[in-house]
Amino acid sequence: MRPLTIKLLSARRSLQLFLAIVVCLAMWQVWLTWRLMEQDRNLAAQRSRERLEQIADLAVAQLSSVLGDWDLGLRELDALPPPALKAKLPPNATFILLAYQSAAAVATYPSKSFLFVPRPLAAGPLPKGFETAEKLEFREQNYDRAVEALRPLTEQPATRRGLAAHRPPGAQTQPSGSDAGRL
Amino acid sequence: MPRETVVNPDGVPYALLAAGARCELRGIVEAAKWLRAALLAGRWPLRRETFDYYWSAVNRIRHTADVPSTVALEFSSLVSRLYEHWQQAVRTGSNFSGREAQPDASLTIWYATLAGLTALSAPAGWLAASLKLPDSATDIRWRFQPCRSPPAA
Repeated sequence: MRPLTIKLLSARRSLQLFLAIVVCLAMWQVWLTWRLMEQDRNLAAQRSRERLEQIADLAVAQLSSVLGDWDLGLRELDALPPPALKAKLPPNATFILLAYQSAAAVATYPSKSFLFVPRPLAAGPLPKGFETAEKLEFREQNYDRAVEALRPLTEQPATRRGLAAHRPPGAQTQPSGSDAGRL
Repeated sequence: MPRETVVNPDGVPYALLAAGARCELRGIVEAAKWLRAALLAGRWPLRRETFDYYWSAVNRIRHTADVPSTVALEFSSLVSRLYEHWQQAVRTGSNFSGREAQPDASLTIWYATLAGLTALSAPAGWLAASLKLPDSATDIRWRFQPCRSPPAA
C-alpha cells in the first residue's frame, strides 16, 4: 500500500512540475510574439517615415524648380495676355499687370472686374460750360442764368451725365471732405 | 464708353454720381438694383471708400444688408496690396519679388520694378497640380501650414 501511495504522489508532483514548465514556456512564447509584433510595427513606422521623407525631399526639389520657373516667367512678362506661357507659367493662373504705360493702370488676364482699384482715374479739366455755370450758380447766386448756361450742355451726350450729377445747392447728403464726390 | 469714366475733381465718375443721386433722391429700388449690378461689375474704377459708400447707399435704399462676393473683394484687395508693393519698389528704387500664400491655399507671386509690377495668382490646388510624384505617393495629401516666426531671443 505504501509504495503505491508514494508512486502516486511522485507522479502528481511530476505532473504539476510539467504543467508549470508548460505554462512558463507558453508565457515566454506569448511575450516573444508580442515583442516580434512590436518590432514589426516599429519597422513599418520607420519605413513609412523614410518614404515620407523621400517624397518630401522630392516635392521640395520639384517645388523649388516650379517656383523658380514661375519667378523667371514673371520677370520676362511685359504685356498681357502672356505669350507662350505654357512652359514656364501655370496654365490656370490669373495674371496681373500694374504699369504706368498701360492705358488702364491695372490689367488682368483672364479679364476680371474690380470692385475698387488702388489708383482711380485722375480728374480731367471740366468742360468750359460747367465752369461758367458754376460761377453763375455759386459766386453770383444767379440761378436762372446758371440754368440757361447749363441748358446747351443737356443736348450734348458727352456732358449729359455730368449734368445729371449736379444737384440743387444745399442738398448735400454725402460725408463732407470724403472722396465720395460733390453732388 | 469714354464719357462713363469722366471723373469729378474728387476722382468719382460723373456717371456714378448721377446714378447715386437718382437712387438717393427718388429712392427707386430698380435704380438701386442697377447701381448694385454696376458696382459688382466694376463698371467704374473706384477707390475702396467710394465703393463702400455707394454699396451702403444701395443697401439702404433696398433695405438689405448684402455684402459683395468674398472672391471679388479678396481679388480687389490683392491688387491693392500689389500696388503697395510696386510703390515700395518705386520709393526704394530697386526691384524685388515676393510670394504670398493665401488662406484659401492659392498662391500669389509678384515681381516689382520701377516700371511696373507683374504678378500671378495660382488658384487653390496649384500645389497638387504642379507636383509630379511617383505612384507610391498617391496616398499623401498636402496642406499649407501657417509660417511660424522664430521665438524671440
